[in-house]
Amino acid sequence: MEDQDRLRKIFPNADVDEEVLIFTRKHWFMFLIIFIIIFAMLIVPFALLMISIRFYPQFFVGSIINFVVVFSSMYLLFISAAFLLGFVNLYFDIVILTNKRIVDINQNGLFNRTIDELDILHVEDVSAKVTGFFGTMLDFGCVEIQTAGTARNFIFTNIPHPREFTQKLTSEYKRLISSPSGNVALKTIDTAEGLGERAVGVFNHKDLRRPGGIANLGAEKSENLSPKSAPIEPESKPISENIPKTAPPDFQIPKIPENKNEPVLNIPETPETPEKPIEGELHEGTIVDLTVKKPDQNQNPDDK
Amino acid sequence: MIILLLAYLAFLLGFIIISGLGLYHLWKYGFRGDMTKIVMITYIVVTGIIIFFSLAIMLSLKWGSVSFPSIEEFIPQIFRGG
Repeated sequence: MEDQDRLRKIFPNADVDEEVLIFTRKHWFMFLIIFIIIFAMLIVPFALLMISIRFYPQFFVGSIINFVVVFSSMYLLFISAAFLLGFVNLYFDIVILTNKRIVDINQNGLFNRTIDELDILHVEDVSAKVTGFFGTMLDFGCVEIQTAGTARNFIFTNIPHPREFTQKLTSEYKRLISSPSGNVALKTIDTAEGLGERAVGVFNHKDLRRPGGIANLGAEKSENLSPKSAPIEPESKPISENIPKTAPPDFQIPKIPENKNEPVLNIPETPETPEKPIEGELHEGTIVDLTVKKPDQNQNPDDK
Repeated sequence: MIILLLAYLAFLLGFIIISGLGLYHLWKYGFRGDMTKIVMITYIVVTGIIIFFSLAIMLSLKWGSVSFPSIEEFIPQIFRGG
């Protein structure tokens, strides 16, 4: 519930049924490194100062004390500010995985904050990489997500449990693809007979992608929806066979004028028959059968 | 010597601006129940202590012709409110 509130804060118009699966920041080891660096920057100079005062007290007399006090104070404040900025930089690098999208929030300094989001169905390939001694021991690493199209790839560095992240992303991708309301793209194909005869196959969008990677996850569904199973009626003949081989008796060959500027005469005008519009709106996933059916020959024309 | 003191005050002004921006980020982008509030409070307390003691020590030192009360006199004056 807390994560839901966080998502609402980032995306006020997030879907009602959108569920946060993973909300993660950088691994705590990165924060520990910042603490160690800050601690070392605090300890080392002051230890050196104390040693100097202890062994060389003759240097710290008069106005030298003023300099030491002023610069020590400035140094301490500088370290504090560096800690704050480092913390802001690390703490606001957030990765959110929901059941619909991936959100990547990048904070670079105080004045550079980017929020990128990616639909899970646009994920093309995902890989988790764990390298180094600490990464292996503490289970943190890098997740790289390749996206379809021109969208930039998503790279999350030093996030905890990268393998778990990719597994959840993969299973969510699989679930979305196999769901009936999944992102189904409509693709039309022309048969070899051509000349306008078309059969419509419904493809999952992954069929339009290159083979390999995460795109193969829903293969069992794509088999059912492959173009081979497209609803082509076996009895319907290609439209090319419906065109008469001989010209009709009232057909006249147009007269070609000698002067090229003179318009062609006697061209029989054929009334334009606009294509019958498909009723209703087409949405993703709408299955439309555009197969040209042969007219029923057994039907008596007088019945009309 | 007074220049050193003025330089310190200028640095202090810049530090306060940067800190204000950092704290603003923590306040604006933090979520309920996360570490931002703890960090904000810790930062304000720690830097407040640093600034307070730095000023207390500096004011107890001699800065040329300008004389300030010593730290032993200065701290009780603050707690007495003058």
